[in-house]
Amino acid sequence: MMKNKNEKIDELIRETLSAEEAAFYDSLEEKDLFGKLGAVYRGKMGWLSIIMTVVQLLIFVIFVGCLLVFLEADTTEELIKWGAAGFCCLLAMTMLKLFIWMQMDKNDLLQEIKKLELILAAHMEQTKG
Amino acid sequence: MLRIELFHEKFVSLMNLPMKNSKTIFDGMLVLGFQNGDSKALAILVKRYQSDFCRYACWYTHDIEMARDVVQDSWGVIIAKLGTLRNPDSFRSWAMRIITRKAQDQLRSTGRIRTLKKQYQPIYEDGSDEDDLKAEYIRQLHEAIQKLNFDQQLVLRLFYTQEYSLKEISTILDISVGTVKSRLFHAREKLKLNLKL
Repeated sequence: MMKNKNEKIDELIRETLSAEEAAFYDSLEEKDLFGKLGAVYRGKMGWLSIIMTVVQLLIFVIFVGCLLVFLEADTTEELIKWGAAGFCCLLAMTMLKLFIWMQMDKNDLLQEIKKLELILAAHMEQTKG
Repeated sequence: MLRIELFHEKFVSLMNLPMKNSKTIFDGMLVLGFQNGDSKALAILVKRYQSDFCRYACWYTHDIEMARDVVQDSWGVIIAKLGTLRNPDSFRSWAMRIITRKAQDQLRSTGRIRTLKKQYQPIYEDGSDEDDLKAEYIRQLHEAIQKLNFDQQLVLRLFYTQEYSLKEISTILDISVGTVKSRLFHAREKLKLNLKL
């Protein structure tokens, strides 16, 4: 019953759209993980994401350096020092990655909210007219 | 059905949002799509609004060539600024504001004084008496509207034929809601007077 209703509203929404617009509406659901990831880089905050990725790569290089020195170290003091530095690099990389994931999540949520709004509005218009 | 409607009205009043229709919400989806780097979204937006904008610019400038330039320039600005549009649902009125400004600039730069020409003469066909009477009313109404000043005609047009809300009109024309209301009021009063209703 509920499913039926949802389909009906979906149909209702599609009726008011042109073929191209309907294709766009459908394409929103079909985006795969890489499509979504690409959207983060192409979008409004894309420049920030690109900078963050570059910084992340730099940190990775530093991390590899730290690791190499860590493995070569002779004294305990050096081990601790380079170990801690490497650990900090890992942390920083994690944080920067999180930003990208959150951005993806935000895009998804915004889209779903808009869709809900659309469904609500279509419902209202149907009950009114 | 009723429950959802009630909920929606309550929700809208709570959030103090203007009533949105599915058209503006779909615009919002397209704008979001564009902001997320979907190039198809922009093409659809242009298709959706090109004729509307042209018609409006044409009416505003009374010159097809100029209207074309205005709309072309406006799209340039719209595309450049669309990425930073904060409220995606407000696309329509936001874009209309850009067109209004561009049209004003164009008119000012060419130094033309806007003349209120009659754009078109409605054609009345012979019909029954009732149709004649109705046509006569419409003709009188047209004449009465032509007698109004430009600002009043503009507000009437946006409010009645394009069905913008008061708030949207205030955004488009860059005036306060109160001014929109008073212009509408005066336009209506003048129409009443001229039509002797």
